Amino acid sequence: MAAMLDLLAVLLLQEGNTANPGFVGVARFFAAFLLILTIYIGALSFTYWISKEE
Amino acid sequence: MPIGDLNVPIIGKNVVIAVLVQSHILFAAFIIGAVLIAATSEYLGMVTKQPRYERFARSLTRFVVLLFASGAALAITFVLALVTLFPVFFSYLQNIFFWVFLVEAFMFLGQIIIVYAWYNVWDKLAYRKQLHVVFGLIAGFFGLMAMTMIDGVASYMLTPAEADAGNVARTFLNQTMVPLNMHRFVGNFSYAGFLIAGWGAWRYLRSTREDDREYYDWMGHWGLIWGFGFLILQPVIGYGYLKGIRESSPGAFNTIMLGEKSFLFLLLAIYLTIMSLAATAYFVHKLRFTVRPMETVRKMCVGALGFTALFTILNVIPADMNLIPQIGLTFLNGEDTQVPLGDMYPWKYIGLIGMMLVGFFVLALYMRATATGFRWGMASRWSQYALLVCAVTVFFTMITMGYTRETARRVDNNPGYLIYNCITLEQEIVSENCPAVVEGEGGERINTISGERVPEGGE
Repeated sequence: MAAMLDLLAVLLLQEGNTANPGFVGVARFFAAFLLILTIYIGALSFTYWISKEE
Repeated sequence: MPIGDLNVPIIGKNVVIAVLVQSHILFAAFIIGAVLIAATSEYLGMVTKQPRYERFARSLTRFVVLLFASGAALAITFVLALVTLFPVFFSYLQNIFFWVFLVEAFMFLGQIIIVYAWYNVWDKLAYRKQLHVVFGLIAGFFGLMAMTMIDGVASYMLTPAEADAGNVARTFLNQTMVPLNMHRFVGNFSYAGFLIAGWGAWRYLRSTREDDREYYDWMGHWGLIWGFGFLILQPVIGYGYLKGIRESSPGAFNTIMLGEKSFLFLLLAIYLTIMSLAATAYFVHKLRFTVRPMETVRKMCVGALGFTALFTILNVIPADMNLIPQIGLTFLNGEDTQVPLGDMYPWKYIGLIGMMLVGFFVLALYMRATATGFRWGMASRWSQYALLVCAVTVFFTMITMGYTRETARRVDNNPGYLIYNCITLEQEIVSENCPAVVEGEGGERINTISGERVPEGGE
């Protein structure tokens, strides 16, 4: 598991405070992806919800 | 505490910017594309007297008006985050692009005012339709101008012009500004079109009323025409964009096309394959429901589907078996094992050009069939799934391409740049190479922003 995370971290090429080539970097990448998805789907769903009764 | 040394706990400050910008652009690109699609649809409704265009234009405009708040809120939050987390970089950028940011702000304001007015006077101008359509087109124009301004800044970050900071024309019209702007202009239509098609498909699958099924079936078709029609223009524009990057910022080009991140091109090729095949398969299916039977055209489209598969699959063949070495995806001696038909030249060029030509051919056939008319509301579930697949894939294409452009400046992280060859990710100014540092008359190096002499070896 740890070895796989190291490999993934290298793939994502993160380093320093922005991108730690370890568990933190990998976790941040997926956190970003999840946040984008959440904001995107959330805002679109909300917009649909407030407009559908019209 | 040194300026610009703030950080964000847990996720880090770069992720904050990435999340805000990626989310913002997903809305902004949709809004710019959707406004122009809605205005065009309204115009077509006026000309053809077909009520579905009017219904579509009005619903889409209402959605855009409501969605505008989310897009704008993310833009403001992003600027706030940038000022807070990267103040040195932002100050530098603001100095170079003061006029551009100012124009951008007013274009944004103009877009808001006109979009809201456009929707609000829909009934009032029902008998002055031409004037009303002009409202929509002006709103689209303001959106495009706002995008053009920010493209000047974004392209400068990757390919900065070797000009002093006060030279607005050269910094704004840097090497990749025009191709980036074209790439995004076309991309907005394609992205919005595919999302509209996906939405139409979703609603079609859930509709039970006959008139709704007819309308949403048509909406899927209409969205796909925009989505696929503009998608097939992208390879040639993207080629021009990459050529500009290669000439001005070779390190960035090598990173994304030959280096550690070259798998991103293969990812893009996979997305293009999925969207092209799904769209062409939809066209083939749809040609069963023409008002006048068009069996020959349909058979030609089946042939085109085969060629689309051939050309798009040519694009996803890797050059060697060293696929993604970072995670161990290396087979059969990796780099030593060349894959037949895997080279960029000539195979991927053949694949991309072939995909475009077949795309134009199949779209022309489909448009010809469209002119004779379709029987709406009879599409199969599978054809709607194809539209949904396109909508999901275009979302991934957008975020992958955004990631590609930004990660190109990392240049193997040695160092990573905010402005290529100018400001590093740690907000250190690399004075020797910084475009805003120029030679003075006596040979001394002057920072054109502060007006001070730059000492040897740094600032």
